[in-house]
Amino acid sequence: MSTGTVPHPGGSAPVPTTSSPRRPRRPAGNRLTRWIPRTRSQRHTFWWGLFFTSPALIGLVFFTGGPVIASAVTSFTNANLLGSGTRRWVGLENYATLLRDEQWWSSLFNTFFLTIVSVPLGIAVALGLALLLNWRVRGIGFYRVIFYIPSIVPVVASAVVWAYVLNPQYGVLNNLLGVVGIEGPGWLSDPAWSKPALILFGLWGTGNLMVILLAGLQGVPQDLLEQASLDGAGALQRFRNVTVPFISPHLLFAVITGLIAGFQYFTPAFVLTGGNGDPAGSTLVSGVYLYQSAFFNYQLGYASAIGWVLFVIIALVSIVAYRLMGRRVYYGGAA
Amino acid sequence: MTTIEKPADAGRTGAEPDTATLSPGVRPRQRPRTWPQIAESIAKHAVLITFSLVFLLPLLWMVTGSVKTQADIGAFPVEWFPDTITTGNFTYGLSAFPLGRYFLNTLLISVPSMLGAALSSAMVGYGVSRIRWPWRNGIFALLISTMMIPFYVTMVPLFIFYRSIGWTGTFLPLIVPTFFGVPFFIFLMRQFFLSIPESLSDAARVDGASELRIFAQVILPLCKPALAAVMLFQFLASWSDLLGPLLYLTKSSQYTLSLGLTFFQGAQGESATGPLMAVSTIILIPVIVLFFFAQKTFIQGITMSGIKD
Amino acid sequence: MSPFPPTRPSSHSISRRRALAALATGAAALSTSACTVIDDGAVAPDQMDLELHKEPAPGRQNTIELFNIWGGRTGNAWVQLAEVYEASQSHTAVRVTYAPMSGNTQIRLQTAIAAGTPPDLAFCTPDEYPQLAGFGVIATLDRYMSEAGLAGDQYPAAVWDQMTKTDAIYAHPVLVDVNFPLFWNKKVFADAGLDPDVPPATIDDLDRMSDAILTKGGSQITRIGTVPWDYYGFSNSMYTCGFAFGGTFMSEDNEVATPDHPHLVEALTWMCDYAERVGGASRLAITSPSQTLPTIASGNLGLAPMTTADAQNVFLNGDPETVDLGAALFPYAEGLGEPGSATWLGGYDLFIPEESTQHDAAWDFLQFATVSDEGTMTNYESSTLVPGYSPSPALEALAEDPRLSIYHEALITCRNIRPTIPVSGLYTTSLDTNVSAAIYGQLSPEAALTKVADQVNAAMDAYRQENA
Repeated sequence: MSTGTVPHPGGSAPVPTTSSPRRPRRPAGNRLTRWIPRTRSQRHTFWWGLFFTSPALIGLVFFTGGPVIASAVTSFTNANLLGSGTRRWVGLENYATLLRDEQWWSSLFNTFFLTIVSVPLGIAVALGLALLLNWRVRGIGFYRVIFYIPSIVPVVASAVVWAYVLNPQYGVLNNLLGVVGIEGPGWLSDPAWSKPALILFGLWGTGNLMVILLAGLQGVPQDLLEQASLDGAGALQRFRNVTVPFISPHLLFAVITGLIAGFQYFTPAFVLTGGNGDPAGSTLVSGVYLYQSAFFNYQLGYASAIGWVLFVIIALVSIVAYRLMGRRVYYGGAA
Repeated sequence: MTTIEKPADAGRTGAEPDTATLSPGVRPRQRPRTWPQIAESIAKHAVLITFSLVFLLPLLWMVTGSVKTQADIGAFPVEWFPDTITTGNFTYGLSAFPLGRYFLNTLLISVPSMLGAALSSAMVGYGVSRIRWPWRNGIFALLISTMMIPFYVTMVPLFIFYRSIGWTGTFLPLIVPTFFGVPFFIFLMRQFFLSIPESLSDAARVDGASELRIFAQVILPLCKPALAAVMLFQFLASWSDLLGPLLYLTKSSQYTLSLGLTFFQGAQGESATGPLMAVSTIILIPVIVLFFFAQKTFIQGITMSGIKD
Repeated sequence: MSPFPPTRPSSHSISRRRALAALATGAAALSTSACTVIDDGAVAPDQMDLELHKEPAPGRQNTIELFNIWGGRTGNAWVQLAEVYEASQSHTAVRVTYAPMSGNTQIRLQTAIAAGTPPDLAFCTPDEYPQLAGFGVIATLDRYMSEAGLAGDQYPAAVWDQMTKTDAIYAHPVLVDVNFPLFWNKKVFADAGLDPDVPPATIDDLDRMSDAILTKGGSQITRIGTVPWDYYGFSNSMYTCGFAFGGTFMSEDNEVATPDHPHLVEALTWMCDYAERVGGASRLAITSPSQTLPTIASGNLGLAPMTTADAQNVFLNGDPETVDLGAALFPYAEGLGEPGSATWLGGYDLFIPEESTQHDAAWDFLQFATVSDEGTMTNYESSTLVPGYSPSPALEALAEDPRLSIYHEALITCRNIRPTIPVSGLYTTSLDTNVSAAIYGQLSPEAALTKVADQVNAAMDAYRQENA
């Protein structure tokens, strides 16, 4: 390796096996004591850790904790939204009902479908756009503004535009497809195509992820890219062996937050297809079903159960994703 | 050993693959010299312009909609460039609600939230990434897990809590929580912090710097793009939030722009689309300006290059 | 001032200045190009200067709060009404708080009630009150009603029927939507070779006219007679067509949901057959994406039921070249329904939340808004809000309006209401999902409606168990 002065991860460079590369030096002793600082320097570090995380810890106790516990408790009761009448402990009844609820199963299917397709696709598109916007050309700042615009236009306006884009007859999309001889589907009016329509809408508003990846791309050392180029690596190889490792922390972030957001999918379905899951329940996702249960049917206990099952699913999927990806993530600090 | 260059200058010294000469302090700029380079530049612009058209569509619809007459807005197929242009949408849109007041209110919420989120999330992100202490990963996991609970199941208890401490009817529920760390941003900052070589901190520690100083003077300046992204996202979130102001604000003198936008949506069949588009266009401008400044920190090589390990 | 003040020296800022110059040139070019610039034509003049929020008049004995859920002209009506009310007496002031809906739900109101701080007056749909009453969050109005001498004979039959579906009166209609008269576009009729002055009287007529109007481009429909599943959503379409076929959605005693009533199955079968005949619901391409005018104004749709506001919008803003409306009662299925049987009641009621501390003052305003001559006329004149109270002069005015008198006729003849039961929200969402599944061919009409029956009756049972 000629560039001995900078970290060079390479495609399959040995990377620490845990997700956080700088493993804490664990004090000898049993499992319990390792959570408690013992030596003077450990105590010193511990206080600093506590100091830096204190805002979040205080926030957890005062703002987040109470409502979270309250909603967990609610999921085991018959509580209604308006908080009136007798609130009764019903044990696992809400969860049992959920398992028998056909509509919930179909909402779960829709949620999985949207998440599994839109998360990888969204990351690919956002990364592609970020790479374009990382080009060094004149006026790149203006291009960046333009690419970000779909993310800042009020949803009301975007929804109207997309109703036009997706219109089966006059819509931009089907006209374009018509040019290459394909007769486009009915999109939002066709149960088979409504989910792809929502995914397209999501891709177009991928600006925030694009910005994060663009920010991440700033951390890719140029000298390393140049060196690789001199070593005869092609564009694809440079991308795979230099760019990807350096933005892998951001890709991990994109995957985890993408999964979390994907399973809680709500706003586009609420705005574009009326919040009823139209057409034919094809866009009824878990988030929308939860909203319906709480605010149309006033079943807060049931809605909370939907929410907490969703929580468990998201947590499991995130842990799996973290474990799978975590060991491949390269943190510059590890070198 | 490690040489630490002053972080502020670190970004300017990265080698540029495409440019032959560079002087420190000046943003590298491509100046095509040879025909292949010119061709490449043209090709790149062509690609960027093509994508721009796709992304500009909603803006075009909004901006042209803001100067269309009621009849033209209803026209179908859409008239992208109407023959008659009206300024009436702006006249009406700007007089429908006290724009200045609502603008100020929105700023009073967005700006403190933006600063609060950036400061607290950077701090907490630092605490769960660059300090080796036993609770580090546990707290991180706990914070991330709070993102996994759908908002609507905690909304009512949260409202009741804010009521019980007398915060409803004030801006406080919309601002204060951002000062206690936003998990999404904490995660984002953590990923950026972890990308910075540990040797940098170690060197500063050897020099006797406190963690706070390392955080503020060594690490944070290297994460400007991430900080800019956090500020941008929080500003935008507060700027366009509708549910929060709807739930917590009670007096019309406290209302925000996004609440004002709903004024134009009447009962079925009486939406004033033109004025809605006019006001939407106007309130987009501050966000675009903010984004423009945020993206200026996204310059290649600002964080990593030049830091020799 | 330049929006992007140059912060760095040299070449960098030049490109930005250039770009700004380019933008300015573009704007200038646009303004000097061939198009005309005017200052009106933006919105109807009656939509200018809308106040949606009102501070209470100072120095009154009582101050009550009303949650206003609308923007636009309808939202402004409540502010005007409160002002007129404050001028009419000296003891009570009204605060109107703008609290718009989120989708179809009043999330602000729901949260306020849950937190124990409701307003003194709020709106709900007329089928929604049994649900709220079941949770014990509404104050009863019986005492006030009898003290004011208000009784059944003063209300149109359907209105009174709906007010008295529970053990007590909990909510009073303040604006009545009569859903729905059928409007037809005479231009489309003439173009399709139909007599532009004869609307369909029966469902068979409607089918026949639809066949004449239907036009396809490729496999896409470009002009259609009517879209029976698009009458303001799947559930409202089902109500309209179901009543046209003489069906009922609840048993006589209002205890059992009967969405699987044979007439309703026939109605849904007709809707599904219609969809199949035009090539499937998913191939429909006539909906205008602009959302500013109802689709019938586009000339791609022959007949459509419409709300008062939508009809007025088309009358006022429709292009006379493409749309010329006629109005009639919605047709009925021969042998199943009766003339005018399709009509049902929509609109909004006012109610007093139980935890409000000002019940008497709230009733005083409620009475002014719903039954007084001055209050109902104010609402009618400001925003064409129709009261559900027969002696009101606003109903006379409605009967005399040449364009809108059809709504008066429909109100007087209306016999149907939506299911007014403690699980009405679930009934509606279940209809939305399952009717739509039937229209798209995923379920047979019978299976879809049986599913609705099962879901709703299970929920009714659970409710009865909970509140035994």
